[in-house]
Amino acid sequence: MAALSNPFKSLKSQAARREAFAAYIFLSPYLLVTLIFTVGVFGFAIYISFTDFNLFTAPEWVGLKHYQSLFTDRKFIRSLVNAFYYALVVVPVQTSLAILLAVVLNAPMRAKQFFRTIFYAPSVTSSVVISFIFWWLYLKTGYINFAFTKIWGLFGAEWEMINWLNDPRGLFQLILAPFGVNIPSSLWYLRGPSITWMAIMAQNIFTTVPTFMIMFLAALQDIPPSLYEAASIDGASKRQQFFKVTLPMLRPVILLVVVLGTIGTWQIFDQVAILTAGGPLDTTLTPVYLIYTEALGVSGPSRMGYAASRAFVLGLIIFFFTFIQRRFIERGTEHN
Amino acid sequence: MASIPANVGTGKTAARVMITRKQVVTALRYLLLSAVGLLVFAPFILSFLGSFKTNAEIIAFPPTLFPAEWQVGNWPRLFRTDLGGLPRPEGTTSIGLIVGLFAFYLTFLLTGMSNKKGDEGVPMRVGLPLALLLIGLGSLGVSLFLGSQVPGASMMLRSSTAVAIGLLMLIALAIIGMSEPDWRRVLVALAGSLLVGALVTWLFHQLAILAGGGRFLRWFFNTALLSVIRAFLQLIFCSMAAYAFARLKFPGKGLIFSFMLASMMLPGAVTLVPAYVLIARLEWINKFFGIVFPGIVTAFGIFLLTQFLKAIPRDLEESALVDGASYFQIYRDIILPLARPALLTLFILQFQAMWNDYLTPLLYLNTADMWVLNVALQVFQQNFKAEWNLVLVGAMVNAVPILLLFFFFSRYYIEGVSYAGVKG
Repeated sequence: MAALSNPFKSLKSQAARREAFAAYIFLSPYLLVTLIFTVGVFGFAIYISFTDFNLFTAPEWVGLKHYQSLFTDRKFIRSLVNAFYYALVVVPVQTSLAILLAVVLNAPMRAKQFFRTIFYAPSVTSSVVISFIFWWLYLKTGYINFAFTKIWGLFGAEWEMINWLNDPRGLFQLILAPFGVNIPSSLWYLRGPSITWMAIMAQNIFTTVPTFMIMFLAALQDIPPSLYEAASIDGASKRQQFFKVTLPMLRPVILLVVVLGTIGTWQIFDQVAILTAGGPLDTTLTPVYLIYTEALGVSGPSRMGYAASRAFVLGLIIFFFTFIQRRFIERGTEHN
Repeated sequence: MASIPANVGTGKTAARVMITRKQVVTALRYLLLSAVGLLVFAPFILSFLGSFKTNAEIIAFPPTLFPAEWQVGNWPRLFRTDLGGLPRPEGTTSIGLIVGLFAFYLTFLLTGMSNKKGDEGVPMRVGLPLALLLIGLGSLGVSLFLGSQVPGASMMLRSSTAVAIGLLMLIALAIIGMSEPDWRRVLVALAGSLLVGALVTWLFHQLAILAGGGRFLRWFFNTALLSVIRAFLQLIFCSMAAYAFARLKFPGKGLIFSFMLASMMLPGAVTLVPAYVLIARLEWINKFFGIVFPGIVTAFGIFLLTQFLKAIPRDLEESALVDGASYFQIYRDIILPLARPALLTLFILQFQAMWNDYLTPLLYLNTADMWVLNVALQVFQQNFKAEWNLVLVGAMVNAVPILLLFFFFSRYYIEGVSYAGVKG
């Protein structure tokens, strides 16, 4: 028996070996690229963050210097606070708007394809193009101010023209000003997101909602109709159906959209680089923009080590928030 | 439906109220959608109309909807503007070599293998060394070409490029070589493909010189080439990896796949600085290599295709395996045709991703002849600050190809995005 089964076994293992060999050859381009540009580069990033150097000098080991200066680094903290405000506003607004639009679009109707295509246009266009279009719309003499003038005019009020892309006044500062409260510039973090920052938030929401809407639409179509039938037999109203059937069934996609949104908003770069370069008064400075300018030395000497260490801190923050969100949303699923 | 309540006898008025209410809801829904649709599309319409206005008209207050006089000349004026800068040899050579590499790949994979195994002709112990020699000569040719075209090309640039292109050629040889092919045919195909690659390299080198330096035509050429080449290379390499993940058994599969999924969650900001240092050390700044080589395969692309392949039945491949087909034949003749819809989806998504990318080209391409449209548009705006009409024409030239692509293939777009979302 052993003599009979042995050659068969070796043949089988030979075929298995051939298969594994083939698989590794098919995988080799990926393995090569990922070993160099993901694993290698990641290790290199750790090393760089403990050194001081620019492109022209050799790395010089400085230990924890860049991590020790973290809490006194006013610019970096400022960029983190800005990014935090940004994520805090953009992620919930874009997620709920996307769900709302998807639910409306999901009803049986004509011209669905047409509306879908129209809605998706802003998110397929490059953020650079959208930024330039919005720059023009946000001009003091642009359409946005014009629209506000008209709307204010309906109520007989006068609209004060706003220089949207160069206005450092913060949201809470504006709200409190009529009560005679003035927030000093040393308490800048209490002033809230500046007008310019909120203008960029609005632009970003405009471009990301459609992508997420498509994800929700696909998920909505996967919800079995029998669930709604059962709910309506039990006498659930449309609103109850939305909260008791639709939202729980959408939970995995909501998680994905929130996580993707968080990763995206904390790393916002394009709009800032084109529209404001971090200004006015650093109210739109973001971590990735700071990392970019410091690494390349756009304003001053190139500081690669500093930039790499800040990138790690940013990565940890993003990881922390996505982890919390995952725990939070998944725990909600268990309760149901 | 409408007649049912009337028959039941709850009263005609109730039925009428039901109908009208339903109609009102439908009408409201269409109204809402049209309003949102108009709002969403308004920036595009406004800027398209704006691109035909005069300088003064475009920043006048109150703004008008239509131009008083249609300035059709704005569009050709954009293409005539020249921000200066001549095509540099480094840039044009890198464009040529990348397109040449791509042409080599396509020709070799398509012609390198016959369906019947040849037992006559060149045996492996002769064929393999000869093929390796050919590839070595090809790499040497790359290095010599760079040396002859780029004045003062450093050793680092010549060797890093030759090694990268040589490695990719070796992978192509390994893919075909593992299937016990007819080695005479492999040698002929390899020599032919190297020739095709060289010809295409030279052709695109000339085209890039013709397109000029700091002009819109050149930026359009750069952007289109980068997007097409990167998306096509991803189709080849992502589908290969996806075939391995979806169909083949090999040790370490689960580990590599989980690693790949984890790497998709790694924020790009973390690797930004070291990747830039690495590309700068390889002397690939201001060359197409620095953008194309790291992007020939992405975790997202592999993941998308793997999920698709897992869902299609295996009957065809199993009978082909029994008939003695090699893995490469199965991949080329069965898997690729079956995966066509997913491949088209991936192509469109990756084409769009490269076309719309801003940070990577901003980092790696910074001379006037190497810019892509996104980067060029920013410099252009700084130079023509007062001329918003020209800037808007530039924005439209950048947006229109992507919008057209989307309107024609919106089904594939939507499938790709929702697929990544739902199944992720």
